[in-house]
Amino acid sequence: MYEKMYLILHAFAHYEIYGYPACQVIGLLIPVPLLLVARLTSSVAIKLLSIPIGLLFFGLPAVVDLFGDAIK
Amino acid sequence: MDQGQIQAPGDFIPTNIVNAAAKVENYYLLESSIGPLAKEFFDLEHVKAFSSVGLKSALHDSVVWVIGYVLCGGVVHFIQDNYLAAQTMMIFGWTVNASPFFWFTKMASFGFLATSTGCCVYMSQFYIGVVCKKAINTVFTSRALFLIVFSFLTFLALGILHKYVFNDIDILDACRLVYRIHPDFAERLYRFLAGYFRRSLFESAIVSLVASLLSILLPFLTALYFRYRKRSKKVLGIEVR
Repeated sequence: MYEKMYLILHAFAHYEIYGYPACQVIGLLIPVPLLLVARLTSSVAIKLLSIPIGLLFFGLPAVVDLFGDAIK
Repeated sequence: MDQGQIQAPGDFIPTNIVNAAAKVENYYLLESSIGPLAKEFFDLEHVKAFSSVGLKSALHDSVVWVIGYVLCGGVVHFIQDNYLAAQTMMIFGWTVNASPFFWFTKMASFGFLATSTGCCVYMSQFYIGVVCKKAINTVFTSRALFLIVFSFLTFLALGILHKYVFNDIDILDACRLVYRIHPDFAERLYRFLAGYFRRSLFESAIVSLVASLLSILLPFLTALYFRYRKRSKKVLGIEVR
């Protein structure tokens, strides 16, 4: 069960669209709509977390690979 | 709250998730008796207080979970493996290969997360009216964002431990050092670290992501459920929007 979940996460983290890593593209783009939502809802929390969430997506492939040898 | 600030009777600033649920209930009663309030009623002070409730709840839940599930779970497993006689238990006729003490520790680590999720689910039945919606959205959104960030940080920390601290070579080196002092304990330690703890880091990382996602989704889904269930009727005299 854990392996299956890890493989799903791994597939998501390394998914590519036209050769570009989708996760990292999301990581670069997601702060823009999040900042927009923060502006509309005047939410300080979303504003503060827009950059960390972008970084989270950007770094996901590298972080997921830390457990690479757990499923061998 | 500042000393000089004027406060309406019953208008307290929430400091934890239970306070926030009580406050949302107050807003619900207020709006159902005098009609919908202006959205400016929920001012910046309230936004700040409700956001910090979400942050505190997510922080407490994550820290308690990590301490309970990873650290206490590891210690209990070591004790169970080496010193306890009863290593199996029966749950509704099934035999589980772990002591009751071990499963209790693992389940108890979800206590804070389950309690705060329960409070959020309770709050979600008041997802009606302008101020109630604003308050609930603030708590749910801030809690969800911080839970995502904390679960990702937990995943990262456990991944670093798995790859760089508790890898096979380092475990063997550490146990070799202990072997010079106490050979019997070194053997037990190796069996624990290589046989259980390294694998448990991987499993805990996956569980942290799944548990956080579930505790984020459940309150939003119940809010949606209550919203659509009450959409077509008036609730306590308020036209439901």
